[in-house]
Amino acid sequence: MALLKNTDHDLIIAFANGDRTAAQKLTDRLMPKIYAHAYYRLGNIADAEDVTQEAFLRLWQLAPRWKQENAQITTWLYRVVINLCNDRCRRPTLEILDYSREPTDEAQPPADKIDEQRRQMVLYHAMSKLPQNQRLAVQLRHIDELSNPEIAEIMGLSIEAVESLTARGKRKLIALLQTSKSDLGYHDG
Amino acid sequence: MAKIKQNPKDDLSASFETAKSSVLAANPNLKKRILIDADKMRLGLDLAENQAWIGSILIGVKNLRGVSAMVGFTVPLAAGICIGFYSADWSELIANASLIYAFDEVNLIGSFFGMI
Repeated sequence: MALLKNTDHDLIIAFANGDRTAAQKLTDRLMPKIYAHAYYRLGNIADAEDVTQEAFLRLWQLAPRWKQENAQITTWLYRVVINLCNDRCRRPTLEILDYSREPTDEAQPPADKIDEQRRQMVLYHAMSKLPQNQRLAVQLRHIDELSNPEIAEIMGLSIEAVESLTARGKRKLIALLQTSKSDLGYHDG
Repeated sequence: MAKIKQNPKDDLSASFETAKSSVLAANPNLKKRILIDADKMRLGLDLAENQAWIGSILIGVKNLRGVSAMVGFTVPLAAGICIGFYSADWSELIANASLIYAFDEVNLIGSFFGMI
């Protein structure tokens, strides 16, 4: 089927009408964002992959009943993946950030790699100490790089509430990071 | 690379940047798994369409049930009347075979007309 516009909405309708390439395009477009969110939230690859796959499966299942009036597909997928991540986080066996398959930049000196890993680990732990809503708002704003209106729609809050959550989350994070500055590899002076 | 920084906000921004860059590209197998799910679902949708087509035929047949009953009733009736009028009289054959002579003794028509 020839797709004239290729918006997410057009693609999901095309998929529901039997177009396989529409699923490929949607996956190429949305999977990296959803996977990145799940990975940073859950801290390990296997869970992030499972959650991403499950979120897309739900999208395919919903496709025949998808309506224009529904939320944007990206927003809907973020909501699903956030709920799935919440479910996973309740499991006691959740592992912490997995560095076993970090991308290897050959040009980067090993000491810098260690610094980066330490910085990630400290941020991850600091974020895990934030209240859930603050953590989610900060992650969506500063790591997933979504706009405040998008975050507001995903979280079902007003834009002002999102701004407030993000600001409070950042203040708390700064305080937490200050206490662990040495862990981040910074040196004063 | 972690550099010497004094401003805590810069620390945080640098940490966010590191976090963004740390997210791994998704495993290509994940895309395959997602597309396999999509294919299964698409085939399921096709099957559902076929089932809907078969279902509509069955519903059409079901809606014909009044006609079927009428046809089922009238055809045997018509056949029975035809047989009654045009077929050979098998009663004698059956009576001879089973040695029943009651038919000779009972003349329903005669007695009926005899009453008049």
